[in-house]
Amino acid sequence: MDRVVMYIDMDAYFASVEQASRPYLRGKPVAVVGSGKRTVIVASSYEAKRFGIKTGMTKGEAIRKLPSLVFVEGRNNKYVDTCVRIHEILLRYTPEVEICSIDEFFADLTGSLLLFPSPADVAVAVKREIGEQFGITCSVGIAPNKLVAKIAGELGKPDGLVAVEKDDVERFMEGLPVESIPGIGRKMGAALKALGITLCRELRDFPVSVLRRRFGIWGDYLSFMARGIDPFRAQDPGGLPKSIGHSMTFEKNIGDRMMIRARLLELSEMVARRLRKEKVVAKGFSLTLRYPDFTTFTKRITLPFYAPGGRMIYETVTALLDSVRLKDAVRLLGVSAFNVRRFAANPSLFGGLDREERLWRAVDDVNDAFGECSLHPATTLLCARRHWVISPAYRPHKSYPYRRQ
Amino acid sequence: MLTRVGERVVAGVVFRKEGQKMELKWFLWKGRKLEIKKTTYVWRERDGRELIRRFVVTDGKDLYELSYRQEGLMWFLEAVETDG
Repeated sequence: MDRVVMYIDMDAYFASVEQASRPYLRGKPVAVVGSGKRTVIVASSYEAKRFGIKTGMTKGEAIRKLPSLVFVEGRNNKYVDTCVRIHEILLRYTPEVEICSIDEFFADLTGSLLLFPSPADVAVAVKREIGEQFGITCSVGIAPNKLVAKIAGELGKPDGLVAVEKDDVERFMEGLPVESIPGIGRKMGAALKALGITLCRELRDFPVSVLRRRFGIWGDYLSFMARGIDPFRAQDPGGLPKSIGHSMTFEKNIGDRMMIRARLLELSEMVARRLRKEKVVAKGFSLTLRYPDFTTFTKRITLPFYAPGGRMIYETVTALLDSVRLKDAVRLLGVSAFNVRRFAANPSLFGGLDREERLWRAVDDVNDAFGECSLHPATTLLCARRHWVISPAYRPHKSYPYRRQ
Repeated sequence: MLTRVGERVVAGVVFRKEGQKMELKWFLWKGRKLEIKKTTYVWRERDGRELIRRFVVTDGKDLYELSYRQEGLMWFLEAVETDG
């Protein structure tokens, strides 16, 4: 049986959810932002995109471009819950659903097609259900693999449905610009252009040996992808995250090292909590700093061992901070963990789990019962609590769904 | 314009068995009974172990955000939003 993959991408997700819940915003240019003064745009409606409003723009930049733009404070829980409920809808059609990010899903329909007339029928039903339940639209791509399904879905935006049959894949890919292949950004696009390649057809016909010399193993991948062959294995649903990180932009630039350390402790604890939730440990850590002039730099370190908790992460990133001569106050700080592996509880021979681990388990239990930050290190009292909006790339944790009533 | 309220209110709700849906019909606020014309959005969130159901509703004129705290069986009017 030929494989059939459906890709579902919500259109301007955060902004559409806000327009659905506030009908007076429908048809208006809307940008979803955080609550702070220095927040950036995390999503914009199609009406705003038409005027060049993009994710990552500051409020000031956006207002200058479009004075009539309506700013809406993002509500993380609303978007996460909607994502979970869309996932539940998809699970009614196939058990094989992968949440790629908060607004993107892959559903493998191969085994479900005996129950439904065609993949397109499933797509239409899913689109209708999502529309009826949430008042938002999505674009769907159907193809024999994830790569082509994603490209097809992106082509149909907004509210489209593009299906590519197995025999049509190569023809479908031929005329597309190379940038439509996921993973080929501006930099790679420019490098390919320098080789005289702008279309997938040209990439397909280009000698693989030259591509390999220029891009390494990616040269082979590029050649495959230009033919509509997905060179990557399906993602293991229980797969490890590549990295886990948090960053925050401050209302006022911070120059005081003690305050920077307090913020780093807060960020380290946030990262550590997510590592514990995902049941992973990491040995690579990075510290990101952004100065008021927007120059940003990241310093990374890989430890010879996997760090068990927040204190170790904090000590590692403060050591990175101490190795840096700050040229100015900072407007953004970020802490990230990478190089992760599954956590295997390693109780000591006599004392069971070590004291610190038991402590953090207790802290997690309290926060699970009474809400995030009910219990936190006293040093972080120096940090004003703030509300931020999750990135659209955020992937809800699998255990997020609620207790069934 | 969004105005935060955060007041406890009394609400009239129909609990539907099919689809386990809650349908808000009216709520009392400032001595007035506000009839709900439409629920525009519903979502759930957790505050620790407590499940909170949030509803954005309209009386045909303004938008109201209400929350239902499942542990205490309490309704709150969280915010009122008027256009303009």
